[in-house]
Amino acid sequence: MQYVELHARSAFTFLEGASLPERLACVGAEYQMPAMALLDRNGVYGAPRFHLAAKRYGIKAHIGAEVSLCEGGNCPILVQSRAGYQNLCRLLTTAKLRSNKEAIATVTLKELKAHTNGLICLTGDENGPLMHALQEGGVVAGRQLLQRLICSFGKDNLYVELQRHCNRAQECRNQAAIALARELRLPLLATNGVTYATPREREIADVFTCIRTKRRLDTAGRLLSQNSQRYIRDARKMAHIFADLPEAIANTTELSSRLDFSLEKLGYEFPRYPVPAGDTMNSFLQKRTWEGARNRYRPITERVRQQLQHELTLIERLDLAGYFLIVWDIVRFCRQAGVLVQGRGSAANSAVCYSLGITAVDPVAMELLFERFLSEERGEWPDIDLDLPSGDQREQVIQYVYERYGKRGAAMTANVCTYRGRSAAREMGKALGFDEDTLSRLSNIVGAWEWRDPADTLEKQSKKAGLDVQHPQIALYLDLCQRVQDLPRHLSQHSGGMVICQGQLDSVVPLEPATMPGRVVVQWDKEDCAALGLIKVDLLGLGMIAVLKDSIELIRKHYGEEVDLAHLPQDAPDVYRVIQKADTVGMFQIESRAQMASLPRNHPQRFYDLVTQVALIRPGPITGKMTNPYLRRRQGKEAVSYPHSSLIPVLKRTLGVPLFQEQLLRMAMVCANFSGGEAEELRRALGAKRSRERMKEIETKLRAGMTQNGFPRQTQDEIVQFIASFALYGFPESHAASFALIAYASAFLKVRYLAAFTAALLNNYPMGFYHPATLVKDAQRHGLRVKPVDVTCSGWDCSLEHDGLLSLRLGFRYVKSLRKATADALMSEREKRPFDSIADLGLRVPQLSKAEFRMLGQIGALNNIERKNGIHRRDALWQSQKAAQPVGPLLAGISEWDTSSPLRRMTTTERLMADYSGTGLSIDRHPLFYRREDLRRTGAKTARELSQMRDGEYVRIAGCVITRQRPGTAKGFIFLSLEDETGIANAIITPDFYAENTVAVVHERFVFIEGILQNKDNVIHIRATKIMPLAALDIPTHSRNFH
Amino acid sequence: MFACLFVPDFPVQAACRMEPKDTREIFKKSPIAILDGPTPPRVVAMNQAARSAGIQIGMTKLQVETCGGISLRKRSLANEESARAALLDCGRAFSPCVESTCPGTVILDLAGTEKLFGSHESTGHKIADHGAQVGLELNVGVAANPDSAMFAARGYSGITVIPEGREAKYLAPLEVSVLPAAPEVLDILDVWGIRTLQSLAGLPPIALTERLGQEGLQLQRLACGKTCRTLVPAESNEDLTEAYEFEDPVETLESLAFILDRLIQQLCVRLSSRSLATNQLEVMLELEAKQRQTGQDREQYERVWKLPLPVQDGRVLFRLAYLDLGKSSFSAPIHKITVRVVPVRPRSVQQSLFVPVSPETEQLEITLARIRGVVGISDQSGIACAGSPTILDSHKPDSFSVEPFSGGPASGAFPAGSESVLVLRIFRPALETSVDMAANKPHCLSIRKRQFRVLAASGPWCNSGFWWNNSAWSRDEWDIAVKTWEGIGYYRIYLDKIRKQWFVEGIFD
Repeated sequence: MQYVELHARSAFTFLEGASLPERLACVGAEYQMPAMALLDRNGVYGAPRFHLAAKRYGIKAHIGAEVSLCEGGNCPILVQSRAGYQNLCRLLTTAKLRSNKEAIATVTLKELKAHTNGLICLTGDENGPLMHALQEGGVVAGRQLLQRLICSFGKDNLYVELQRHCNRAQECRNQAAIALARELRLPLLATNGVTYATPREREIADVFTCIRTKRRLDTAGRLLSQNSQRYIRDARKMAHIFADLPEAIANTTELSSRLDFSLEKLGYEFPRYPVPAGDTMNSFLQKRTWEGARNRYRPITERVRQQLQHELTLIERLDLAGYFLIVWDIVRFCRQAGVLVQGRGSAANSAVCYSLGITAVDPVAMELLFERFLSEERGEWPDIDLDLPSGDQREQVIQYVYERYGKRGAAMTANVCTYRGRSAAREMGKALGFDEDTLSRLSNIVGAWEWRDPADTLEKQSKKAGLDVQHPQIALYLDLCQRVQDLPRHLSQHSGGMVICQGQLDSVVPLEPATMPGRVVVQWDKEDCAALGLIKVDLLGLGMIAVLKDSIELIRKHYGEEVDLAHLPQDAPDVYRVIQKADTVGMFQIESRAQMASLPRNHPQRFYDLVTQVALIRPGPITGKMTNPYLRRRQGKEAVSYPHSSLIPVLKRTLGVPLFQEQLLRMAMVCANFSGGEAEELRRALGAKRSRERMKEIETKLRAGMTQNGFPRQTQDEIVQFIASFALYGFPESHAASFALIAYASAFLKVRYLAAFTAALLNNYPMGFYHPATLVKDAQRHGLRVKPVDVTCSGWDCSLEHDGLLSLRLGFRYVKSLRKATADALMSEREKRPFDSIADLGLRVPQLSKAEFRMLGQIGALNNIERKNGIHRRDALWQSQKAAQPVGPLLAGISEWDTSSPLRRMTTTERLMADYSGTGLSIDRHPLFYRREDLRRTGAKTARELSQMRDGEYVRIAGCVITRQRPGTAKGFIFLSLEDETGIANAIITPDFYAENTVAVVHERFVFIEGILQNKDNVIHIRATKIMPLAALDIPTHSRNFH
Repeated sequence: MFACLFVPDFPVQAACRMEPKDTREIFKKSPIAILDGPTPPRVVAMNQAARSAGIQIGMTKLQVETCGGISLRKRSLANEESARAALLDCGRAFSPCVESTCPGTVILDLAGTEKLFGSHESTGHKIADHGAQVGLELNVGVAANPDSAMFAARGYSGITVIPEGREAKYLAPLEVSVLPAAPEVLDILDVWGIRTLQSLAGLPPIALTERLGQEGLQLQRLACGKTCRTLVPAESNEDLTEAYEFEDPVETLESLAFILDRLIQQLCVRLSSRSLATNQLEVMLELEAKQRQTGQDREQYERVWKLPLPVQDGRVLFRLAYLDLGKSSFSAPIHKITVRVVPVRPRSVQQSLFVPVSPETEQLEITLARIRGVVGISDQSGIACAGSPTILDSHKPDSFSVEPFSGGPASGAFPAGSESVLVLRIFRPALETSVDMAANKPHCLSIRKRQFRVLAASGPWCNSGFWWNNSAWSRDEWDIAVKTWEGIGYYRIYLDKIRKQWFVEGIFD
């Protein structure tokens, strides 16, 4: 006898189910079940993963959900047909969208009745509507409920569900249900109400109960399960348990055979774009493309014409015109709204995208392969990512999409938050009743640095926290922490992925309100959407886009020039000279210490060199040991070679070293005969969070293919190493090209329009690698005059001023604790007429609080208010304190104003301290400038002097720590950047040295470092052998720490 | 004249005060930080050594740990409270008029004490010595007004005596942070560049008042040492603890009982004098040998008796403690005994007419103590042996705990559980049995060497729980009908899956 489990819940019934959908499918397949149904609570969250896993294991995946009813109980619904699936999605969407995120979404029986087409109803377990009715009103109420359900679903589509978990009370209820089923001639259906795959996972289910109900295991009492019977039982066991009701078992296969729907038949249609009468979407797209191409390509060459024709034909054949038009429409909206936008990702391979203004990289000139974006053979759907200025403007675009396609036509993709180290450690500890102190010890002990010792296991961490790992309770705790890893905790929204479906998205996947007002999310994450062929657009926020946009506006206003990012002068030598010197503070993607260290060696001379540069410093190439060979080959220090002659066409552009994802895919295709589909699977595995396991499976396949092609073992190892390391993250070429374009644009703007670019950078902070203090110092070293905040002329943002030369005026946004509303009031009063004294300012801007007034005085922003008197900061502070003191309406404006002050002028150090504590930066000379004589006596060199010194020399430097970095790929090494008045010097801290000098490395702001100078190819580092705090410099500077 | 007793780094000293003197000396040189606050706890205080090691107020535990070698202690308000009381006692030893200004600061009025303690300087030294005896290292400042004395104690280490009329000169070099000013005012003075009391004293008073109001003027007066105020005397200490350290550790209960009785009687006299009673008696015993054997801290034996109603009768308290301690065995001689009572208001209301008659509370407690002396405090599974049974919220059948008598009427209902309509007469303890299974069902069972054939069986009804601790249980229950010599009998049997043993749990009536 066969049995089909038709009521299983996965861990996507959050904090209730204890197994992943894949695990359920796996165990079902082990028991040779022909099919299984996943019915998570109020959602189909786990359906895609269940569907894909079931397909892999060769069983049929039935889809459904438990729908919570307003009348009480969770009603299990199975999907019979596509219409049924659409009904279920709409029903769930209705319930979810009207309830807030915290509340349980419920539907009424009346609403359920309106959506029954294509759905099968079960009466549920002890939490089902029938048991609820029986408990509330006995047999009479139970009968009434069944009659209502018959009326809604029809007799053929309603099954009285029976579960037997070896529980007396449940059997009593079963008997009542059987009696009603007999009376109303309804079929019986045996299920096991599966909540976990195997009995052992009951422990996780119990822990989840505790987390959900905020209890401890010791105090949860009868909220916990009575036994471990809600696991997947095989047909033999079920037949034995239901030996008295064989029809209940037989009905499972009968019902399963009726369930025709699978997620293969999702019914998702490519979005349609409304076109003017007389046009089809294809013709409209063609018109827009040629129109755009004429603007982009000046002129359109034959090669471009052929490429566009080729792409348009394929787009038409794949019926994707609507999708391109929708993205074009978003881009068009951005242009109209003045929002800078640039496409990236594989879309940069498309000349159509370039012509439509979606991307800014010319794929024809770059020789990028269109097929990597869109290929009929691979059967994958295009994925277009749009970079937008982060913040309000990005939100403006997202809201436009909602408005354009309706609340039920567009939604963000979800992000499934799973239990990870710290969250698991905390919640498992809570459930086991650990006290707050132990919980804190456990969660805090998880190291703060990104880099982890390979032996830094949870067990080791627990020992460190003073826990006895041999203790049974601790052993259980560690075991639970391990087992709960990767189980979903809750759903949040993805940062930018949007799915669009022309007003019908709610019939494809249920929608939910997000925590952010005005946002709607689908119940599937990005990977699930991609797996089921839903096309999405990623609307990502990128700070540098906002900087570029602001720079362009400032350039237009102050330089009187128009900068078009799509037509920047290519390969400008002055720009590349700066990049080659690694003088790249503030430039997108190439400003980090690691990038700076490789720039002189890579020596970029043209755009493609920047593309490789951007891709070079990534965890994939670094751990795959590709970075150094590539750089050596670039410098001509190593001969270009290839792992195998068949790979020459694939790796020629990158000197025989794979740097891009596409090259890895092509390598798999060439070496191991991977098909397009298999390569696509590899690509997903490379980009997925859950990639390690998938990569192992793929490795076996790779080796088999390479053996077949006669590759020697050593070459196989090399190639597998290349590919496996990309599991740690590497860039696709088109993506690198898009980023390189922004990098080039930022470099171009910095070199040619330093004032505008610096102002835009400062106005868009936080972003990038460096603190504004460093950005300002860098700009000053490049000749920019930076002026302080001044109440007589500063705006909220940093602005440009013309006084012979362009100079940058710091804005009020940098005054700590100054509210924007106050600054607005001040500026508005100033526009009416200038302030003639501090007292006048106090009278006319009553919004200024004492603290704000004081802060303005402290940073020197009030110094120029009374030009003739030439007051200093302490004078201003003395006066502002009085001006901020309320005197009452009677005396206001008439009290005598004494401008003399008994306070002494601030010393240089005091001024620097006031600047750094009040604005986080100083436009004065660098603090070390004032100490240089002393430093010289100690033998300390400046950052600039280091370039004149020999490799291997023992040196001493002093500086302000501006960044501390401990990258995951650096095996515990720490990199410090020290700034002095001449520039930036870099120091390397070994793990052993760090262990001995932790305080100085982590906490000191100004330090001396001594060590051996390493000068290789003009890349200068000091390998620290001694570090000491630089005494008597207590200026509150800031460093940016990347752990 | 006034003297101020100031404890630098008060939370640190309070945390270390109970350590032996030599350990305290070591601690003085090693860096110690005190953590407090919600997650993540942050540094709230530290000693000079920790300050030199780079520790700052507000650092998280993780940040401190990265510095290495820092001893971390959790802030204990109880320790601070007890240190505060000790500091007050120290002050009271020198003057009847003592003000507890703030934690770690006490000011005394020294008027008329010269004849008792000598010059002010000598008084200062005596105070510091006394402070050392109660485990606190003090700065002592003596001046003509309380505030100047306080600033001297806060600003100078050791003993500082300011001659009358020379306050301004002595206070001049002190930092403004010694002043009792709001953080905002200190910030203002800082940005003005006013860092010492001398520079504050030099500001024009009217202009200062215009800017900082009366508070500014008051601070300036304080900086000049020109203020005078009366002390606010501290209330007497309410902590009621008595301790006795034996010269030679005692080994017999009789020897202990003599002292125990004295201590309790003393406490009852003190309670009586304050018109208070107690509802909690605590006895802490420190055992001697453990320290010698292992080098660890002394082992403590602690017993707490919570009484349902407040009592004041020393005999009742003594008998309660004596009977309870009588059944305990100590692994080592007792070195020290500490007795503490929690003072509460005595019972002042009559019991309700409608409350069922129950034994006198005091008598009931003594009776319970006697019963515990016979049956023990708790059984192997940790369930108390005397008290009132309470059914637990658990799937485990027949699970209960024994709670102390509440002294009032029984309340609460039985938790709903079994929906059975039959009455099950439970065998306690359950009868061991052996069961033969056939086709996964009980076929026959033997009870007391008699075989019974199972006519019908319903089950298994599976129950399990407590998998997370060593009380894990798991059983499969069956309800069976067997043929007996009296006819058909209905029983509940179960297989204890942990012990792998069958039991008859009960018979259905």
